[in-house]
Amino acid sequence: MKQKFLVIAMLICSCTNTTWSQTEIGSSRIISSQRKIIIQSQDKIIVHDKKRIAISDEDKKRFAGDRFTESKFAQLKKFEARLLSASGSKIKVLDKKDIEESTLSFYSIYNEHKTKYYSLLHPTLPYICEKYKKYELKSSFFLPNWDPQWGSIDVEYASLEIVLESPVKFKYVNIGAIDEPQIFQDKKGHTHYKWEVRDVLAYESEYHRTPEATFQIGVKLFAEEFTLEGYQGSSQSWQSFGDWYIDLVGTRSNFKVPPVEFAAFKKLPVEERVQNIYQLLQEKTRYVQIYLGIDGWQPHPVDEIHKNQYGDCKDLSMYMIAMLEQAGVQAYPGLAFPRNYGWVDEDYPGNQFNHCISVVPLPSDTLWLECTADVTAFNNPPAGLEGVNILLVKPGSSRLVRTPVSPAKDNKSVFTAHVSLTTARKAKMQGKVVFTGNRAVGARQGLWELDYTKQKKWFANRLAEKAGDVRIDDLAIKNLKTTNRPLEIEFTATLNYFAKKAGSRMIFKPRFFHNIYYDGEAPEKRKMALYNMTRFWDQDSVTFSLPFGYTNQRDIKSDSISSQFGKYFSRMKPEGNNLLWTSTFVSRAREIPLNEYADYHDFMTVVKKQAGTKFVIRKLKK
Amino acid sequence: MTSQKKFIHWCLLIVFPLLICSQISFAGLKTKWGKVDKKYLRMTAFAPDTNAAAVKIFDIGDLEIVVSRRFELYFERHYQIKILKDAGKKYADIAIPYWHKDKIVSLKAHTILPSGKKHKVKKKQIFDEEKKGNFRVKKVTFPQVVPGAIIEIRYKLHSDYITNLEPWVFHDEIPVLESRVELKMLPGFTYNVKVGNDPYHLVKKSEEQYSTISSGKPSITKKFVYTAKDLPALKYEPYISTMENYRARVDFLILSYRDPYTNYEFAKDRQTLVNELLEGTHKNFLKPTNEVKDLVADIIGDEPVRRIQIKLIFEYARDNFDEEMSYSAGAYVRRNQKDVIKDKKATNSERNMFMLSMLRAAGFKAEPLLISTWENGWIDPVFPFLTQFNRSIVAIKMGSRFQFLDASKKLGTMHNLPAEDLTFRGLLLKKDAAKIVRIPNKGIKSMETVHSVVDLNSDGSLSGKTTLTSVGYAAFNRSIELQKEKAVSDFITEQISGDIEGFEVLECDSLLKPVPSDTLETQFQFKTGEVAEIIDDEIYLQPLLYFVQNENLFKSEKRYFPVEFGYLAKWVELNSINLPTNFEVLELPEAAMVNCEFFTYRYTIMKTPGNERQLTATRFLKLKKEFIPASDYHRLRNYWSRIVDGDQQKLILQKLPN
Repeated sequence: MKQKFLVIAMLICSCTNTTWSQTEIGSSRIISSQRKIIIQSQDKIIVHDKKRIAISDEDKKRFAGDRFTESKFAQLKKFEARLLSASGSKIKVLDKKDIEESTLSFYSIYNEHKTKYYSLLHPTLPYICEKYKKYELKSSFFLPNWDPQWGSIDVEYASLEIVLESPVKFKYVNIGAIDEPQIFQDKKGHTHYKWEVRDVLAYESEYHRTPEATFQIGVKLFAEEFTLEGYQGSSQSWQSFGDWYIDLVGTRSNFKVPPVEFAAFKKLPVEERVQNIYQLLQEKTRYVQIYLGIDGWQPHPVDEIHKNQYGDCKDLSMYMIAMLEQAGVQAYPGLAFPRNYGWVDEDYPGNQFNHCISVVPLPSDTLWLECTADVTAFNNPPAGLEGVNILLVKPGSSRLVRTPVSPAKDNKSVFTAHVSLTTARKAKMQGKVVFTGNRAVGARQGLWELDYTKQKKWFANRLAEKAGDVRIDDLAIKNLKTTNRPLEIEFTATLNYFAKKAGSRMIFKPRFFHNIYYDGEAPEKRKMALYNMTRFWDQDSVTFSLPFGYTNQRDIKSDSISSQFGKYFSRMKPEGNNLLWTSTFVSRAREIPLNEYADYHDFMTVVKKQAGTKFVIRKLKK
Repeated sequence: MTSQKKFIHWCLLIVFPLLICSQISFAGLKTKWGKVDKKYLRMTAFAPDTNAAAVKIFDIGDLEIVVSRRFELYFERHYQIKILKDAGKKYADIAIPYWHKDKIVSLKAHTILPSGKKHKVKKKQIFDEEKKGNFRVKKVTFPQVVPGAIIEIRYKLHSDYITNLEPWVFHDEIPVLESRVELKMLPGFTYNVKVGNDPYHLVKKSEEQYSTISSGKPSITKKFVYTAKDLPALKYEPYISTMENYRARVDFLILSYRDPYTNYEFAKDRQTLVNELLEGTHKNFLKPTNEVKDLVADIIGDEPVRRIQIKLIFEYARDNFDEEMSYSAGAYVRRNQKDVIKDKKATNSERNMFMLSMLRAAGFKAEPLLISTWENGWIDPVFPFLTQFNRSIVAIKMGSRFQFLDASKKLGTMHNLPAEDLTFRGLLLKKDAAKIVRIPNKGIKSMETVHSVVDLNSDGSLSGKTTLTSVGYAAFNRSIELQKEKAVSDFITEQISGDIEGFEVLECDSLLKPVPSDTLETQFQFKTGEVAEIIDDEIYLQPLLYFVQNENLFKSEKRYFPVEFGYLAKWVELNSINLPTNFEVLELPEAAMVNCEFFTYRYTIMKTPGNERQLTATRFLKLKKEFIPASDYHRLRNYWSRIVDGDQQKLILQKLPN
């Protein structure tokens, strides 16, 4: 009996083995992804990351690799990885010599770090990759968010487990369709928090999705108390977080040897003082990012910045504040997270920032100073800093404040031109564009560092993106560096294939400068809110002179549509041998929630169609 | 001593050293640290090129090889850049890459303001980075940089490796007033110097004397100075292989060193270099190991046809090794046959050399061929430098001709070298019989045909079916595009349909995969948005869908560099357009034809014979030259504009009266 049982058991085992060895790998996906964060103390957090990935496509081979950037606060403990065939046999195992190291920084001049990385490859697909990474974080300040959706690959199962070996307080925010964690205690009395997700589809972007939409499912984590290089901090409130930042900055924002030149501005009215010093900052300094230690957070001393005349966003913002102090103006740092990166959730004080500006509260107004961009006007931060939450760091009263959003009329692009059409379907034109507000910032950003030849090229691309090739005969740019004035561009140009030939007719699109691009998904397919960087106002006024022997086929033609999202208007009016074209598109919609998207889509579809209207002129019969 | 002799003696004692000092100090004055000609301090714009955001006042390299217990190289570089505009400030953040085994032994830098005041770069403004085991980067950031300032840097590099010296490049992306390299070699060295990419003879050679210590004794010896002045900024233009082909440069090759105690040969001539390479790292692949022989026997099996044997071996080399990314040895190899099999990884050259060993195991007369790919620049066949090559491929002798193989592209086939290999010639590595051989690049290498049958609907939209056939490099490029996309429909929408308004794939071959093949064919059904304009009772339609030229490829009025297409190509589009039932043709586009020395272009549209309700539009474009000198650019541009004229024509349909 015993023998029969053994035989049966062996048979069962062998069948199981046979089943395992015949397992197909199937399509590329993350079979399982497990993260375990063990919080031993505020200054010691061990993270274990384990993944099992099926790789069946050439372009998914990159998932069988990993990287980790070591710094003063993060240390890699272990990389392990292996490739397995469908039957489970080892194809390749990660060796120490496969792990490369680099200290190269690309965006910064220098960033004190060491990146370790590997890529485990095998020429014959498919295979399974099992990989494991263990690292230590030396401050709870860097508690990592968990985003199990791993880019362009489906995820079958993912979990996050936090183990509190020490009673470190933290907050969490669930993102997307994720259940609350299971909370339990182990035999040692340590509290565990565990989240699990299943069948997470690969991330797919959508047209003009809101930046935060990239984080679709997961958990955000914030330590309530943390220490960074001896600076004790708290994210229990925005005030406590601000206090920590003040402590971190310390005396670095004060001149040890105050330069004498700034006191001279005291004789001016306050706002003028600020404007003059801001202009000085823009002219004399340049953006240079150097990170050593906690330089990612702590600014360099202002004396050093003054000597070198360079720095990154927090350096230049502190420098601005220090200069203003010498001129008798009180200013404060504003920690920011530009809109194109995401959104600062006001309910969760903590480390949500990646940028710094200077803020000058005045009795009747607040001045917002973007200190790293030469192209921005005084008190006119770029679109990415409009309508965002900024942490105004003030001793004892740090708080979130919302920056204003400029109305469409402040962000204008006004195009006027006279266009002479030739029988060879060329357009010779003479005109002017005037940009204000965010439209001016965008144009200045494009033109600022270019020489004249490249500026002409920039403008040629801008003038007629879809109208065939362009020769800019003359270009005069006014107020490029005078950021508090509108940017004006006067030009003469020849567009060689402006009109399309159709037998004895020519057909052209009158709205060629302010093209309208809209490629939003059909409402039934859309899943994400939509985001436009800025409100704006585009206006065209163009006179077309017809070539000799040609005539217009139509009378006055008008189109218009108006809604809460904006308005579009255009009119073509014949005047003798000329056609006078006027058009305005005002976009007021910055953020369109999903429940309004269908209406927005309808509006933009009509606008795009009307803006694409073409006109036909015909050769007169002899 | 007579008084006359005394006079002469004293003159020599006093005057001669002064002369020597003046030579040295003259050379030193020009490049004296911190010294700036006042005119440059005052300069606010550079008259010959007012666009320039910065200008290099001078750029001086000093290359010296000394002999102590070993050969050592010292390379000192010293330059000044005048910042003219805000855009020029970026030149004040410097990165100096160097090989990880070399060392930068000294570095000083400062900013000189227009007032003459200097701000030194401190040690904490200098940083070191590295890609471990590969190269290092020294980064320097200058303080107080404003338009008008001059940045100045001088650094010295030490190396124990003198066989592969870095070339000196004269041109830069900003104008250079003077670029100079001085080559100091102790007596006893023989070497080759090659000036390249200098069709306008900008580089001048001169000799100067300098004093040194040689074999413990003071001596006066020569240094060779290569100077180029007033170099314009080199700006990129489209349809060019690489800017490296147009930067004037000097390459150095040490041949030998002899003194009373030493006789050292570095290299003699090309054949010697080739023999050394064949005896060195390449030797690892010349004789197939038993393991490789067994492998080849498995791969070939019973296949009797030699051509197919080559194919099997080629495909094995292509498919069975991943690309080595952690280092790039160019034309050289680090692995041997055993390593390649074990690691399943290889650089391009290692992969090809492994293929060579497999081919030899199969009895083919395969030889290594060194080439310089497009991005690496042209070779100079006269000079012996092997460092001008960056890839090893394989040449098989087939009768009187060669077949060339390069297995480095995952989607490549044995019938076509990768496009970047089409660089006219390579160096065949044969012991005592190395020679330059031509890499043929004749005939059409890329062809694409689209055939569509479409219905034009009365709302201006189209619906229909297209068959795409790509051959040669066109097939390869399409496979690369297909590989990038998640689905075949995405490939069609993103890569083929281009800007067609509202293009949507209704049906396609979802099983189409990017595979190595000389042809790629696929069919799909589609619909579009409003591609035709409807104005009153007329429809205006551009009959071409896929190969339309909406703008001239050659926009610039002037061009300094030749136009390089790389290879000859052909495109054919054939569209059968079914007209909407209640519309008739009012006007058809005119036929267009251009037959010039650069290309042939034909465009016709007519009613389909036997079908009054259908139009057939045919477009044909074939390149005739892959290399067009700059002197012909103007004509090429004018001819090309006629293609645009032809392509952009529209046909007009008119609604039939009720």
